[in-house]
Amino acid sequence: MERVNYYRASPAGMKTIDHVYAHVMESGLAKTLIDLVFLRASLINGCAYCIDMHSKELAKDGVAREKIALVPAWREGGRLFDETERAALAWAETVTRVAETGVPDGDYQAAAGVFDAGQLAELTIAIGLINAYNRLAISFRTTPDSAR
Amino acid sequence: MTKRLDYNQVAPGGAKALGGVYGYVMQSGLPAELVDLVYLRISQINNCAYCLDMHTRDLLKKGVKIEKLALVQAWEEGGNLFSATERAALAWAECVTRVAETGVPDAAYAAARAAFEEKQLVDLTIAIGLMNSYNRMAISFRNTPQAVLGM
Repeated sequence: MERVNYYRASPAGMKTIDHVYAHVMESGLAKTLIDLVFLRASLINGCAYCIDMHSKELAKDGVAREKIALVPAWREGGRLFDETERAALAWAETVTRVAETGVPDGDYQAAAGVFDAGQLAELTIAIGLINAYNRLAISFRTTPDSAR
Repeated sequence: MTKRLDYNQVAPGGAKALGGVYGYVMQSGLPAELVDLVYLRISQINNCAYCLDMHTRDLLKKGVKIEKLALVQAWEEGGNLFSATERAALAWAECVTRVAETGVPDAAYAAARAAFEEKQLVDLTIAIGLMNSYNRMAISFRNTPQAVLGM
């Protein structure tokens, strides 16, 4: 059950967070790539509301449900995931699990081999943002749209 | 440790948007010292050198004693050095930062709500989410701590 509606409790604060979201969506990164990363981070953090939302967004983007189902196991997903998606998902995992990984040189080099500096900075802002949204939605038990 | 890239330079729009969240938190009504304590504790959990350096300096500037700063990591054993409000904020920051392991259980939420009003707790959680974002940026791109620059 929802604990707090944070948009109602702190509209000005949430507006600044949503401003980061608007920036990410206009950053030039492909929407499907962003949604894949949002979904992967949400799966790691266990955010029901965000898993529901970004699975639906990916379906809207035209991604097949067979591919969406394999996002948590993308390394074994063969040609379902292209090189750019693999690099973004690997980066999203190491950055989300920062306390355990420390984001080592090997991970950075792999990501920097696929994305230019601007893209990698934007992707990392997106990963930080979804980590913040996951923390809000889990902390305040935001009800997934599908459960409404 | 060399800096990998300067995100303020290559993604100024994104950095500015994050700065907007930071600015909001600073004027949200939460005490500045409380916010800095929370920022420091999260940066300890995530191991962010740049952020540890920054928020330790910020707390020193606010007049927080070095004896208290040294115990932030072990605040639960810090006796009367930490007020009830600070303890509630630090416990919430730890639980929310480690969300993948904790899931932020009912007891943690009930304890936090006993110390903070709804808006305060949402703003505190925005601050926690923001510092988790900044830690990830600074670690991913190896921001150089001021101390290493000799400043």
